[in-house]
Amino acid sequence: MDLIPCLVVSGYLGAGKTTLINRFLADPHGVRAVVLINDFGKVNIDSHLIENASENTIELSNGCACCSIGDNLLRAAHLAAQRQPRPDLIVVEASGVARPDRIATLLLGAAGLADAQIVTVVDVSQTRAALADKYISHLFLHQIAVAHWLAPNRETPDSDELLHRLNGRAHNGGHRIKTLTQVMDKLLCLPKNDGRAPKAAMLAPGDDNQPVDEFAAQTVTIPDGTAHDIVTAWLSALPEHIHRVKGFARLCNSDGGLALYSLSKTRAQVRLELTTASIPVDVVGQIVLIAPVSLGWDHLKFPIPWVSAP
Amino acid sequence: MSKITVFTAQGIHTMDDTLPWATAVAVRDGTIVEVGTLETLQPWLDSGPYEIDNRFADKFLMPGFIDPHLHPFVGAVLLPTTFITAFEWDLPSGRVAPTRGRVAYLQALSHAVTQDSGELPIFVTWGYHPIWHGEITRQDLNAISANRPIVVWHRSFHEVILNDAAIEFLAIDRDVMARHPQIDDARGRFFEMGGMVALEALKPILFAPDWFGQGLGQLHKIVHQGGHTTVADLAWGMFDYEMEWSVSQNSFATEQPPYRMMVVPRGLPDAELTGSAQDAFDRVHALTDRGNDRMFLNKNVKFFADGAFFSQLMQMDAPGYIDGHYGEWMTAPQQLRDIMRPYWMAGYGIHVHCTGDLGMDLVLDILAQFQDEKPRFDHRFTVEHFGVATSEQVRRLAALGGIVSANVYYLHELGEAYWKHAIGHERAVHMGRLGTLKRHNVPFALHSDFTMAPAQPLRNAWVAVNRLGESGAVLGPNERISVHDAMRAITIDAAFVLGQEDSIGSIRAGKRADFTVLDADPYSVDPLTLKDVRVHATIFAGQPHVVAD
Repeated sequence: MDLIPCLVVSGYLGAGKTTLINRFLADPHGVRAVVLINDFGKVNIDSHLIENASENTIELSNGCACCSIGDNLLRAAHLAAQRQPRPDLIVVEASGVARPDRIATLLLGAAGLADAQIVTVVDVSQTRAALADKYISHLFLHQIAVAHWLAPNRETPDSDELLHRLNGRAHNGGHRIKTLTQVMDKLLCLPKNDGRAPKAAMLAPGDDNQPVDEFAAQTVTIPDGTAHDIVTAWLSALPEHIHRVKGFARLCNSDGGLALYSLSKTRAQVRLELTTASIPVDVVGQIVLIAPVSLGWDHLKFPIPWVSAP
Repeated sequence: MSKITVFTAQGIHTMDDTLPWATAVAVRDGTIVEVGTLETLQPWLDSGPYEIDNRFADKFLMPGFIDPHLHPFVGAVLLPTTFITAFEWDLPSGRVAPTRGRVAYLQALSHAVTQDSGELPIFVTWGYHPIWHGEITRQDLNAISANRPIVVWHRSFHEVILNDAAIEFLAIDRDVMARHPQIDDARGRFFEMGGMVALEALKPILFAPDWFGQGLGQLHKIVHQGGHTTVADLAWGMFDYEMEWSVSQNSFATEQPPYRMMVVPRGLPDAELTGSAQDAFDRVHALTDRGNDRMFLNKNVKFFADGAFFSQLMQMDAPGYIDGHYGEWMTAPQQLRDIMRPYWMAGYGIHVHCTGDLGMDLVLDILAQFQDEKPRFDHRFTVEHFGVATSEQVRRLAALGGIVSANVYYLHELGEAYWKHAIGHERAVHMGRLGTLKRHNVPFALHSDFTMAPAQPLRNAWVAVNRLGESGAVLGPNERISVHDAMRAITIDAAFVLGQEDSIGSIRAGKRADFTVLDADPYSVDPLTLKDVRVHATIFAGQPHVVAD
């Protein structure tokens, strides 16, 4: 079975880890992510998104879930990996003083998780103060040194110079990103990891200038009453480059009846499920596809007549 | 009015410098009526019924020993294991002699597995360390038993070695074993983060009532045989506040062990400070309205600054560690200050786990800031463990009114290893700088942090007085202290650290009748044999409890 990709979101206190995670949870682009966090108090989720909440878990209507780490990250990660349906991605919020590489190693102890990649959030406006602070400067630099991805926050006029210096310290790549979605796009496109590959194979150490692929959303309309089987065939046939498809459509069953379906495709996994969710009328039939911009929309020829270019 | 009992002894060290030496002590209803001689006690004896108890007439009495910092729940998990250790330990089952060398270790282990009753589902031994026992592998353990699950638990707690039967029994995921960089699949060795995988699988066994309950029972015996009459649980809530409270309450109620336990809650109730510090304070403060004579609270609280000394995770200032690694913060520096503030303002006695000299700087900076914000006298702000610190830091601590509770046993077990492998000679041989504390008049106690060190106050006093490393060499001779100061550190000064000096820690009229009965006078024996002075009994609240042979 595929290992579940995993992200560790690191950064010193107040860097903006929760903000980055909140923004992702509000719009996960169809990815079914489980987010492990230290404290529910800080998660800011629109109440209409919350489907179910218990002491240790909040289920969201967009398929994601937030789970509390409590004092046992290994156990929380183990439980997250066992969830049904199986998550597409696990995101772990590290505590402010944690060494994210140690957390990544710890997470290898949870069966089913791929080698974690590290996103370090940097509050640029606090960087000079952090570098001058004898108690935290080493930790601050260490969190950057092991980061595969750097998410700068609260940028200042001299951000570029500072970030350039910090990038020089990041021996795992330290590609700059704005949102977790950017990392996810990259991660979910990665070749399958058989779990035995060394860490370096996950992502070649990039240089500072290597651009991160931009992804764009395109919308496809599926008219009411389209046959269920045709949509299934279409979803299965979509090129792998289009790694995420998500939406709702009113489809025709084999017995001729109309019903509302939730449909999605993440990597090679197609899901087409009956749903009773109340979906606004103008959203039904609008299917969002996300593909790398570099691929070019023109290259995507769908053998389906009702695909409309935006 | 109850009858007075007079205990006579060859000598009584009262630990009160006004009247340091006596030969008789009268007690009534668990309280000391008077200490002195049979002649001076006469007015009390004339006042009503009394008995003279001469059973300890050839012994020496001290105030009941106090360990101001241990962890009963860690002890309860560990004690049902079989100790095979490089250093000597005294357990209810007897004295564990040191085992050194690979062959001797495997022989001892094989013998222990054969002797084991098999009552517990798995055989666990604790105390293995490759420095003294060489490399032990899964194959070595398989050769000892193919069927009995065997777990070898490292001295540091962070590493285990399993035989195949144990890997099967604990249902460790083979894929995880194969790919984890800190699990040596072939040798069955789980270390650092990989060790957590095995310990996680072990937890349901270690915390099951048959294991844990047996462990608490043994803990009571160890505390008694070490000569203690008061100990402090210095991180109530380490696992779970309410679970720990109810388990301890039950155990004290049913087993009636002859000691009392001061309960010091951890002040940051979560892994990190998330809401306001005042809210966190309110939550913990609300828990403190409970207790009785045997388990009590006293507006004291515990925090953690830098990492574990045994794991080389203390925060070291320049020049740092020889291998260039850095220590860790257990609490983020600014959070440590924020979360401690409401307790300081509310008048709590604050205890901070602090192991390295950079950790010490941080803790001193915070204390200085609090003294600026709200000056307090006699605040009992206590540096716990006191691994590596500089002379200047001790001077500053004195100026700020701070005090120390030291784990000086570090020096004996780790002094030479850290000299050669971690921080070099100068700083390693001066860990546990008690002589400097004395020169600056900083009050200090000794603790075991059990199970980090044996819960034997006289053994810790022996380290403080002699400063012998594992090879027997004297480490940092200018930091040695006198026998009297070491005895104070396990009695009256330990009581002072806990804010209990009005009721325990010395022998004088009005205090609790808690005594430790020794076979020999610790002030007269060769200081090199201080650890061998046998605890014959304790007297707890006026009642004698003999230590079994």
